[in-house]
Amino acid sequence: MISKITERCVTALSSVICPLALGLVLVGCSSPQVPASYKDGKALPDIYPDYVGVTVPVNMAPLHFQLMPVNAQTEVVTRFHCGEEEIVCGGRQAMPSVSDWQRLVAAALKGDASQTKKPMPITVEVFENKTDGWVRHKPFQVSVSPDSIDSWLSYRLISPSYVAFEELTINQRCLENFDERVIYNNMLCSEEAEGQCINCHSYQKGNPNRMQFHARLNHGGTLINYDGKLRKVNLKTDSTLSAGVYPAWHPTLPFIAYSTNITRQMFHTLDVNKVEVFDTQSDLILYDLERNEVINVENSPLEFEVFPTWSPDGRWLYYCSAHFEQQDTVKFEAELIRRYQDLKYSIYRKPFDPEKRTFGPSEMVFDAASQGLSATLPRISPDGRWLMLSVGSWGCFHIWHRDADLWIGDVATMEMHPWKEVNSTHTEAYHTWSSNGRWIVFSSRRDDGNFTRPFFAHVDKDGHATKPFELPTDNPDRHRQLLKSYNIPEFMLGPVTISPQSFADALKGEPSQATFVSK
Amino acid sequence: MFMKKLLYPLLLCVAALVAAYVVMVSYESYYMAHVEKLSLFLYTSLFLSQKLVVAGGMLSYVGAWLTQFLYVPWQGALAVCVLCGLLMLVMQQAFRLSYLWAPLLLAPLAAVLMSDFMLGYWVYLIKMPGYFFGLSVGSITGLLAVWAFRLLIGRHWWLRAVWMVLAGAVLYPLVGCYGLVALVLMTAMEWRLSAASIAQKAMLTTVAVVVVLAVPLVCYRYVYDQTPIESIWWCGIPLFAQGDQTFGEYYLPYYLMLGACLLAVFLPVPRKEQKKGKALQWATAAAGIVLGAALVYVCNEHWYRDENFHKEIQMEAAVEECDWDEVLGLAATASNPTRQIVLYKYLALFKSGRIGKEMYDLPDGGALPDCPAVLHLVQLGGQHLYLQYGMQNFCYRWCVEDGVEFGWRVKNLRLMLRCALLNHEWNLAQKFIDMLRQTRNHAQWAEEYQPLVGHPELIAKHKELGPITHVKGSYSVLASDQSLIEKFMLTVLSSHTTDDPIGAELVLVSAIQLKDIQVFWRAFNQYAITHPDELMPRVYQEVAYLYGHLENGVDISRMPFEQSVKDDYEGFMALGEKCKGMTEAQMRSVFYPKYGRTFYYNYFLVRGLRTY
Repeated sequence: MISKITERCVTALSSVICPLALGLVLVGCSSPQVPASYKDGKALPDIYPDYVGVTVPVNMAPLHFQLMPVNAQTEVVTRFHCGEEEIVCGGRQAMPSVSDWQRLVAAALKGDASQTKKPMPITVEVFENKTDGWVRHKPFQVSVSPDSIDSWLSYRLISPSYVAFEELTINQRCLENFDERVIYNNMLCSEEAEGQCINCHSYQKGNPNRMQFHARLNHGGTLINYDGKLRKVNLKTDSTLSAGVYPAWHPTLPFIAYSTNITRQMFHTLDVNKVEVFDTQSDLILYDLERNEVINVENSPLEFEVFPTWSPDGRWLYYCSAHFEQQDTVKFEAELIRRYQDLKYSIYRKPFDPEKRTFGPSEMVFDAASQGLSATLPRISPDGRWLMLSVGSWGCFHIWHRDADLWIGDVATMEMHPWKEVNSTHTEAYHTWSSNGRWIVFSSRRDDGNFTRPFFAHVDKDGHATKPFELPTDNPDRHRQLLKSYNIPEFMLGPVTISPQSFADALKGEPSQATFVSK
Repeated sequence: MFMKKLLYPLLLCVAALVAAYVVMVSYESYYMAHVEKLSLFLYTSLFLSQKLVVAGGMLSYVGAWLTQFLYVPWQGALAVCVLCGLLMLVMQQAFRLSYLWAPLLLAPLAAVLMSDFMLGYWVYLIKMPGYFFGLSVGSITGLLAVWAFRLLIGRHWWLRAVWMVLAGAVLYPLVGCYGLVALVLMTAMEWRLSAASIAQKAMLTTVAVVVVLAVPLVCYRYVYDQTPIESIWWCGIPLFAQGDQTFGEYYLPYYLMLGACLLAVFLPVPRKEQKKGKALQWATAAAGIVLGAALVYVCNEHWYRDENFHKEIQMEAAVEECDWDEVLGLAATASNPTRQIVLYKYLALFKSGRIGKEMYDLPDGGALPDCPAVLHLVQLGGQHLYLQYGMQNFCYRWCVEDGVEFGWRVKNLRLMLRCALLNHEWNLAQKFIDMLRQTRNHAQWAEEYQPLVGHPELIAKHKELGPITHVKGSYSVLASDQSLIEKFMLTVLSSHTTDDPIGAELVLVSAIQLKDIQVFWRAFNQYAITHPDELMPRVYQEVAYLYGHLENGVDISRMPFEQSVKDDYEGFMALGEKCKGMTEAQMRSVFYPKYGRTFYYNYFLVRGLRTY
């Protein structure tokens, strides 16, 4: 509560202290008027974020955007209208309030005059006062979908760093407004001598009361919140490669599948991709929360298994695996560095018997490697119909691969194809489905090639997606100023209510050692 | 009497401030401008909100804002002096010092100057934004609260209690522990000056203790989420630690400031001073003068004057301007250069096209930075070297690493902008241009790069970036420098294959520095092919001549070496015969006068230089 008040104070203070320009914008916003006369421009307005022609969920926060270039001095007025409703904003930044936006959305959903009451789009007109008078840029439309989106999103905010780390936070953001809160900040458990890294937050079907994340180094361990009960676990055993890394909660049962990885990082001297992250070994394990036991799932030495995920019914465990055999007499790791482009992952799955906690034999479901590709991060839609992947030319860490795109395919046929509607020329990598399966969120670096931002797109029952739109922010310039990436965007059905300090208290305790059980 | 009481402190303080100003402007201009580049202030609400996530965040914000003035050193020095003057004034008012104790007012000035100018290389490792003005702004704020408390002495004791609670609750979030220290001073003042009863004083002490303990704890639990509980009482003070090691000497200015304030509380009040006898007054005045002299001495002793440090900073400024003559001029005056200075020298020689002739004209060196903490070249000027040698990915990487660990700096953003342009990452370049537009001092600089966005042909013609495009390698490899850039850079650069004459020369000079014979011959051939009608520079001839004799893998018999190259080789070897039995150090002094500028000397007698 107090942190919210502080946040508001900060916002209030910042609007007092910070730029005169902002003040001018606010003054300009007080009584903006659509110009009485103007010429019609032929081009769409150059706005950031690009919300031209997007489809948004009924419960999404207002789309705040700015006319580019942001430092230009021309006067700008923006009108949003739908049916009888209208919002007019002055200034280069169009920032309708939540309540105004909701009115507009309600008008859009009320539908048109036809018998079918088809939802009407919101029309956006941007007027700019140029040297030769007012110009109306070509108007564009924003469609509103009656399909709602899960109201919270969590992500890690991290500098797109290489080796060093300092402050990392796992944040949660209400998608219905601009409320952003910290779930956990690693500085709470960091000391100069030993820092703490945090990663891989994950939830059981978006349930904020069933979550986990890892802390590494200082006070390291896996922190699990299971219905409000916090426990810190050490998943590293003598029989496993590492502690749990990439997690996948079983959709209903108290199991979490993990990959275990030995990960390395190298740097490109010239390639614009800049960084290559790869595993030198990886396996799969299953953690039983109730028994505090770890069992092996896959540990073939020639296979690099990673990124487990469950089918919605919990009866299949999907994962990625690359086959790699040493060819030379040089050190294995040196050969891997030389042949990093040979690491190509395909998609596999294994049947799971929850009663016996056993897995059946593996079967390949999508042979990306044979196409010279590498498929990672399988995610199955909640209705079990669609499989979404991130596909690049090699490797498993596609966030650093510009050619990485989202692919989609029918689970029944496993015919996968690039998802052209959502892809860009830059990286598309981490992705997930909303609980109703009508929305996806994914990480993309399409803004500038380096800083990851979350994008959303609507998916219909036939697997067609609408044009993706970037997470709306209160200040539309925020993502252009922010020197951090959004990492692992995950939908949540509500906010995590445990305080960061409580997480820190739990992390400072001794971990409970998981027991390895051979099967 | 009135004039004496007013004039003596005033003259003393003004004289000290003027002296400090003159010294700063005369000797520390480059340093102050450098500090500005290691800081960042953006006129955006996001920047403010990012600073306010910790207690003392406003201190960082204001400090970072003031740091901008260091860009123009006379303005920066003026800002320091004005703040110190204010600090003296507030201290005088808060403690109502007797004029005889006026020299104590020099303590805040000494503390501030020490905190700013004793850092040396630590300036690269400081994590607290706005550090340069932290002590002055924090102390002024804290002492203002003490002054207000003093004004309440003589009134109801509970008013002072309320003030303590208010001051703690407001000042701690704004200026961190300076607010808590103010409470300590208030408590001391209460016991020293107040006519309240013992019970009331005890009550006020209890209030202060509770506030000092509780406010940070409450803030930790309910307000902030970025400070570990162990550090909540030290917010606003920079951490001088690396790994397990703490460097206590850098806290001296803080102890000095606190000590001066505590002393001021317990000094006799002015009225009592007047009642003293003449002799005692003289004694007090003498003690004050001794104290003032001691302060000047301590400040002077802790002022960091390392020649190499200051030279590196000047060289970096010259590299930014592509003023290669200036870089070489500075290198020429370095008596015992660090690797950073030597590497800047090689860079300037290469960029100005003089390296083939003058590579060894100036002595090599390997002095370590005069810093108790561990430092790497890449934290100093290494990022510039990476950029200038066309390894922009590694420059970018270390800018990010630095930004993550020490906070974003103007220096990082300026370099990252150039990396993005060289990589043709136009949107990324635009991002950095737009960010730099939000700064006070670098907006115009960034504006000059705007036309390059989306225009590789303009980049190719650009004064700084154009030459870099010639030395970019032709293919990418996966590598890691392990924080030791010198050997890594030479290895990568010497492996490039290129048909660009400028690029080929860089490959060759890298191979020469690497002292790897096989690598040299490949680079030498590449250089010869790309410079068909040019006279082979003397240093390259020397290397070929020596390696041709050391290993018979390459036939040098038909290479047209200058006679002086051959003569020097023969002479060097003959002298070597004569010097058998000498240590390397002895040989160096014998050989240097005649052969110090040759590769022969460098190859045989310059070895074991430590890089970092």
